[in-house]
Amino acid sequence: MNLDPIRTLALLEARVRLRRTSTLVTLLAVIALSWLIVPDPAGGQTLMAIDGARVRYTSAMLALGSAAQASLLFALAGFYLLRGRMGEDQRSGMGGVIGASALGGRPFVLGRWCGGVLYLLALVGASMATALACHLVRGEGPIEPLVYLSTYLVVLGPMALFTAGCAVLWESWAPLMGKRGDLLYFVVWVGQMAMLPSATTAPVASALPFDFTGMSAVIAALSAHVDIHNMSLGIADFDPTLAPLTLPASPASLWRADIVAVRAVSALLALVPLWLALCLFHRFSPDRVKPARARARRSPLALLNGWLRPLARLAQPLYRLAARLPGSAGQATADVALTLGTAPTAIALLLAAQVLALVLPTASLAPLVLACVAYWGVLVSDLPTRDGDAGCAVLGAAVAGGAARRYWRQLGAAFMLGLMFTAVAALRLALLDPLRALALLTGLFALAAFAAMLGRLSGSARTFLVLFLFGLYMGVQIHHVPMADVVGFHGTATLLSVLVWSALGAAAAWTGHWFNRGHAA
Amino acid sequence: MLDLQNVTKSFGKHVTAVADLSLRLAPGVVGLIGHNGAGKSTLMQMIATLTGPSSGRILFDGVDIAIKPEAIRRRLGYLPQDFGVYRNVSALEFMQYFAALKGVRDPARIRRLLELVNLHEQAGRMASTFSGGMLRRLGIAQALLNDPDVLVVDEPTAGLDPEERLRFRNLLAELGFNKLVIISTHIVSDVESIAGQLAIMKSGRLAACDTPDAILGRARGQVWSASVDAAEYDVLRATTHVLQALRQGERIALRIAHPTLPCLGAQPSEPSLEEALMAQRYAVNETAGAAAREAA
Repeated sequence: MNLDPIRTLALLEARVRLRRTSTLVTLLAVIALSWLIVPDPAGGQTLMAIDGARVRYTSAMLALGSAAQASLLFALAGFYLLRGRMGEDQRSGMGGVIGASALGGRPFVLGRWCGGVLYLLALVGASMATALACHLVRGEGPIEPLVYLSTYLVVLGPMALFTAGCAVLWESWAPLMGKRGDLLYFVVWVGQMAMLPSATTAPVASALPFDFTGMSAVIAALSAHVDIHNMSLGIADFDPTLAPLTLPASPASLWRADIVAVRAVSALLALVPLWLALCLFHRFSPDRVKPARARARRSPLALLNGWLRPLARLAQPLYRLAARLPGSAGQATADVALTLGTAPTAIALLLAAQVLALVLPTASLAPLVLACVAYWGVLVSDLPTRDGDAGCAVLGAAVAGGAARRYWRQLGAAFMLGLMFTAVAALRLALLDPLRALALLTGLFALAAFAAMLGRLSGSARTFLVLFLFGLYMGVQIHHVPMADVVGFHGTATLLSVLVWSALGAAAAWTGHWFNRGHAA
Repeated sequence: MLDLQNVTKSFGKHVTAVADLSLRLAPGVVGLIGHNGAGKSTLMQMIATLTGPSSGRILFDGVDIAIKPEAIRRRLGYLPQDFGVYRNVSALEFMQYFAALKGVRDPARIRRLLELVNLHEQAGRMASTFSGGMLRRLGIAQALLNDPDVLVVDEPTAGLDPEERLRFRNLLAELGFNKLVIISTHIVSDVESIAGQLAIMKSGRLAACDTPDAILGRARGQVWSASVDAAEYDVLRATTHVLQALRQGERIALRIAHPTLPCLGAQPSEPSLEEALMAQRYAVNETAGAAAREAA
């Protein structure tokens, strides 16, 4: 096999992706998270605490902590950052050119996969650089490059192979393309997270071959040296009177042979999606992958939307109302009508949510609100980029208010839709616990603002979608941190956290507005 | 109605898309003609308030639209060269959406416009399944929703079949009876029969602005027909602007744009508008070249 085309494709892929704004947004998020999870011990918090004692910020500790965090994020965000290139080829018509070229399907898929791996490794490299910078500022002990390199390789290597493989497979096989593929991958990621308890409950913690994120390997490595059953990882409180603990300094003592062997098996298993992609690649044949609209008609969601199409009529009065309302309010209502009209499933779920919010006992309102917020987040994720994706950006910018108002009306429409989904539940919650209802309102506003800002900044719906799904998962898992209770699901939100989320939402909204003004169509 | 005063649009330090362009436009059909990259679309985008001029002013009924874009947006219809439609939206819903964005309260107007563009029977059909011609007709219906006084249409017939093209051209001609319709195109036949005024752009500048008759009149005596052999053709191709070459047996029938007799036996010929424009742009080039040589 001639390797030149693969090398060229891989380098081009990596370059194209690295130039995207969404890459910058993700990198900034990683840098911010890295600094957040490595707090200054002087402030009473640390990255890891065991039985109340903190673990020293040695190379081993910081490498493990930062690699675990990077793996969690990149295993999810990496997929969405990699995804979409073949869709672009298809939309731009270049897919046909590629399909008709002399380049074989396998070198093409392999080139794309290599590009994806290179790209993820670049992100991982940036993450490691941030960890090293943290070490320079807060580290306790010398920087051990081998410890960092071996840790990142063992933890993140299979992750990069698997994530890039999934991204290529999801693009190469028509049934996995589109939004439902996005959601399916999220399920795959959650599935890996769900395996972790089995790694910790075993008498001797061990790495799991099907855990490509490497979290089980991190747990196994730690369990050899500390009691992981009384361990807090993340922003953990510790007792400053207890003597700090220290992890071993050499890679050999940190990584047992059995863990490395399992990770090697994981790396091999991570190639399965690539192998499937090589076998299933559609080569842009119209018989195997249809243009977007034809494909959409065959998807289960599109079929459901087709069956529920009569419900779209319920959105008609909203258009009439929108035409009568002045300015941004009218235009935001028009966007709400369009969103519901294009997704009749949303109308059905909206109606069901109202009925359930009325009949369910108060104790069941929180899960209902969470389900509504989850669906709403997915529904509005592409609202800020919808005009551009549909080729209507210029048409929408030439109406009253122009591109500047479009940004605000789309933010307003996203918020309005959130209110529509949760209004009845919020009212019932308000009677019981006003702060919880307030948290829901401010949370919806903040999320709508982030959707608008990230959509405008990155030009892609996936940036918000991935962060939203990641945040949703983390928010459900974290019970006692007020700031993590963005929409009042756990009832742990405080007035301060509500105010902070309001401020963050306002800041996001204005950041997007500022960017939008500078880049108006 | 629309008064462009010394309008310049630059992108960075080195790219000037529109340079010091001044133009006054009254109701009627105006054809904006120029090569690809001449600056037509940028000018249209400035008139549509999508982007502002780097310098100069665009006055609409005396109001500077760069400062007060809303002054024209409520009276503007815009059909860009490339546009799409939302997925899972019928033609009627597409129109309803833009009617709501534009504050158009009369639902009957949507129906009338769909009839005007002959899409009323397809109103319930998904717009994403429309052909290119149907999409452009839907686009023009959308542009007319707010009964605009200024209609800006960018490359209106790109990708249309001849029948659709004729239908579209007639529609624009009718609209131009009482509105300002600005049609940007590089296909001269799109505007030669309907435009009352032609603005010719070249490298971001306004090369000429006149009626089609005046442009034709200026080109008379500059377009020639001749029949030459292959050797003469090679010489003429290097020294004159050959508009058309057609092999006829051993000889080649030529149409040539040149200010003076290009070769022995050449006959002055009545120019078409396209040939007249070619001749004019050729003349502009020659003048610019001569001016540059004089300056040197």
